[in-house]
Amino acid sequence: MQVINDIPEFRKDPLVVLLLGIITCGLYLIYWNLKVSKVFNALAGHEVLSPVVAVFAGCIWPVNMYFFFIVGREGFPRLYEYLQEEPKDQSILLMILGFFFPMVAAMIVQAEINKLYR
Amino acid sequence: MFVKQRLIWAGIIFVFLIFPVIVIWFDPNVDLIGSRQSFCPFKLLTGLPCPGCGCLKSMISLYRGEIVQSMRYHLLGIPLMVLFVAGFAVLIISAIRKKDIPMPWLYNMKLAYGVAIALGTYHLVRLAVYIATHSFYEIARESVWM
Repeated sequence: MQVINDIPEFRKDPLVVLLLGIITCGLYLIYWNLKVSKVFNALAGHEVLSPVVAVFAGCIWPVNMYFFFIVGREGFPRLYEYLQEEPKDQSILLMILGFFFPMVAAMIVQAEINKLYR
Repeated sequence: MFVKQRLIWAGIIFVFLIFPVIVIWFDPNVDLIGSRQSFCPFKLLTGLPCPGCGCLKSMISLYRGEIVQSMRYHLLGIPLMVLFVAGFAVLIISAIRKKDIPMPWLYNMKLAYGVAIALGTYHLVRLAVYIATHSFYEIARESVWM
């Protein structure tokens, strides 16, 4: 597996994620998923989120469910470890939101990612 | 835990694979799916299709043997079914072997960008055609606002 050392900067206002998602008719979420997979892979030091799956997640709801579940289950623990915060499991919440309201799930994830760049 | 998780995901994929069959069997108005109100939250909000809109209709048409109609609803319908069947098989094999099957292509960034550009272009073209062939009233009628 490829090892990634540096964490790419991906700071966005969650509201901007929502607005861009709506304005671009969901196209922005494909790009957003790809960038988020890069951030979490860099945080973990190895690939926890497949970028190819991330791209499909932007188009296919069941894949989106899976993507957000993995973000919550594999990505968030690395993030909280990095931030030295108490870990909390949001995988089921993100999975359900990822199915019904992907943009809201994206806003939650973005808000957590933004903590990296405080 | 490993086996249980793989089996749960295989079960979820199986549900998505048989969902179109359930619609075909139990929905007496399945022939009218093309003209029905979409359940997509994005389409309900804006009246415009999201990148995944039409996938279920495409799968239903595919299961009924209407390949051209399936591709009209969404080009991804057929690849989606192949992807689901492959994913289901991979998860079952992983659960039986009790170890993941290595798939390095899933982590190829060039492939990811290529797929993203292809899907983005397809969605843009689809949107342009949709806007060009529908009046403002027809688009608004697809949303919850009218």
